[in-house]
Amino acid sequence: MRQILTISGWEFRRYIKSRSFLLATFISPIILAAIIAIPSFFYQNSRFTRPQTIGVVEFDSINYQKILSEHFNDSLDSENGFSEIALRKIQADTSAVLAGFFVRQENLRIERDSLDDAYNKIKERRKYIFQQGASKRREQQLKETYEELHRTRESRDLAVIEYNRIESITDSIIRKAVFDKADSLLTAKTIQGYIVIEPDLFKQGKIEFHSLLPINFFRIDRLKQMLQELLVEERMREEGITSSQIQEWLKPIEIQELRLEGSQKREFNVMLTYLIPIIAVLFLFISIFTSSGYLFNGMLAEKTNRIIEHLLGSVNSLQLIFGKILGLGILGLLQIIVWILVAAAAVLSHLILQKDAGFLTIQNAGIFILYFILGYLFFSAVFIGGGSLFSSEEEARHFNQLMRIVSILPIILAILVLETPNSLLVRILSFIPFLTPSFMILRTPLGQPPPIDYWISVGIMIVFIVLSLFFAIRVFRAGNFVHNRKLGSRELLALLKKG
Amino acid sequence: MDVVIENVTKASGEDLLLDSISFKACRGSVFGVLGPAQAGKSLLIQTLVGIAKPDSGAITFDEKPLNGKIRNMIGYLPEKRGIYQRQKLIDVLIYFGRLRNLSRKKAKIEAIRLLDRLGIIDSMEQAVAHVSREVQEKLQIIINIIHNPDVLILDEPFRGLHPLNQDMLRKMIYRLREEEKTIIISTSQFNEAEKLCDEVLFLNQGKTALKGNLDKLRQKFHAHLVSVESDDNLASLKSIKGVKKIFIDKQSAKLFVDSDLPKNEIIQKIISTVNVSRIEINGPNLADIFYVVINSKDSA
Repeated sequence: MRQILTISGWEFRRYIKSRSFLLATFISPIILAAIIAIPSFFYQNSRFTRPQTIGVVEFDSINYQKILSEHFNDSLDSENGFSEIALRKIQADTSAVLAGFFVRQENLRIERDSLDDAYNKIKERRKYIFQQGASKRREQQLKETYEELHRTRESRDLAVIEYNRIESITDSIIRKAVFDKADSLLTAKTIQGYIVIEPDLFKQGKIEFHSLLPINFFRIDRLKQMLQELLVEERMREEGITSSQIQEWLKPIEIQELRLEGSQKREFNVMLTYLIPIIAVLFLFISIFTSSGYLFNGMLAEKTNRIIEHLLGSVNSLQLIFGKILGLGILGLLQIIVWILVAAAAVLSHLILQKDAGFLTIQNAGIFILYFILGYLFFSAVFIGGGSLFSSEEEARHFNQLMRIVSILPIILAILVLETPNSLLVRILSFIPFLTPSFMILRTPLGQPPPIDYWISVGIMIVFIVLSLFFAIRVFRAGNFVHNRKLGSRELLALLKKG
Repeated sequence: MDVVIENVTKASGEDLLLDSISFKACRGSVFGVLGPAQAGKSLLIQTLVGIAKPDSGAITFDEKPLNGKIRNMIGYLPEKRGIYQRQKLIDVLIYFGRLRNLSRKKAKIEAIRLLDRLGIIDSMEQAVAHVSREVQEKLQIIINIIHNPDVLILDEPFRGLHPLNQDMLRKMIYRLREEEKTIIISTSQFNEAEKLCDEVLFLNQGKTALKGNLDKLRQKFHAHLVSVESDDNLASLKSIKGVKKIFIDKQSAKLFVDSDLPKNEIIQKIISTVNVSRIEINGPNLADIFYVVINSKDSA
């Protein structure tokens, strides 16, 4: 036991002053917090966030752009206090191109109106003639006016057709010019995208969105919400509902989220409730992989530098392994205690609000420490076993890469826990030793897992720790005979059998 | 402390790495485990200190198997050795002293005493990486004697050692022998073994080729070796009756001759066969003996 304590003390002192430990304990969490906090800060602060300009292409006189902008401005007070989207109506100057068409169209309109007027007058005159007594003259006049009416109607219809044709041409030219203008603004990145509101399609709830790159979906979602409100308003207005009623009805719902904690219910911050467990898992993995990484690299270096034989000449394999695990485990615990104290200090100094820090309880800290110990012991055994297979850092690189992937896996799978912390799948995954520490830490504040899950997960971890340590020690002993080469699988099996 | 190895065997798959090895190293003597590279010397040494486990056989220290207490009475200098680089010399020595069950105070006192004796006391507060290779070698020797071991096991101790340190180590071994310590040296440097060892074990491909007291072995092989130098073709010496083996290197040859033949008769026959510029009958050195042994059917 004395040797184990000597080794643990040596390993603890060896790494506590190292730059990498100070970096992992103090700098990495700051970087991690900055990575999470800075984008959020920029996103929420209007001074750093330039609103994205979205163009509005519309071919109606309703002026949706103005209405939508008013909607956005109305929602500012209750939201972030700045506009995430600036709307810009897309207009094109077609006066030069369309000048000839407009003159022609105007002449046609005058001609059409004049012919229409003439046509109506002829009809009036025929009505008057018809009311006269029957005579040969009347018959003659009716016949003449009929022909005149027919000619005038034909001329008028021709003028209408021509007028419509010219109108269609000008519309097409205007549409093309507006789209060209919108596309050029898009290419010049003056606008980040533009919506096309075709009145008929809009009434069916359809809108086109044109962009060069995928736009921030949070913002487009906001725009979609505004358009939806606009459409509903229009439909309600058509049903004869007053504007004041519409505004009252469309007032956004404010949900006050309360959480049952024992016999009390407390308000809680949804964002922090999700964010904090993820940060906790990242911290857990920093801690586990810092300590077990030291163990792995230290043992590999001792093997590469041939210090291991000096050590094994002094103590046996078990004493060496347990001494190292103990020393570096205490180092990891110290790291966690530092973080817990920093978090407590942040709460006491009101940097984190008390109501937002409901998860920072002694019980949760205890659970965190428990799963750190279990995770550390398990990964230490894996690292010792894995590291013993190689005799140089070069050879061990692939194993290290594999372990990095393993370390990322729980973060990738965390989405499952965030969605349904107590689903069957999540519960099963919680009992896989590689995932157990992170999943249980995630589930604790999110789902308050049933006590049986804690018991099962701890039981499974203990079984796997014992098994993995058993094999790790055997592989370690076997690996000590191998220098400057990789331990072959057959050779390993033979050595394992011999113990 | 007497160290006894009885029928130690170790295999890896089909390969027999150590084949029923037995010997006894007594207190106050230096025992040499000799042999070429890959003979199994280091594995035997690792088995002795408990790093490797034998498949069969027994190893005892004063008739007791290796345990924690006995381990603390052994000093082991491995063949391939290195040491922590970032730590101070004194801290490394205290650490290894503590591992050998010394108190912190005792470890520090012993460390300072040995650093002073080996003339590197001025470097004690320096990081290992910042001292010379010579000092690092001395540091590694101190690590293994800081606890005043009863048994000192040295695996290829002279290989790669600075010449000054080689001499220092030799003197240290002599002194420890005088102090009734048991010293086991594994080496492929036969000349060093010849200077130091009282008893030797020749290992070849994991098997005992020869073992015994060095003086007796020398006597046993004394009359067999004849060194000849000549400008003539020395291959003709093969035809001389009684020559069992001949070793020709340019204009010199070593003849291993039947021990029954009288020396004068051998010399006469050689002189009558070639024009000799120099002839000498010497006691063969350990390398010669090893050569004879491994090439002789009736060896050991």
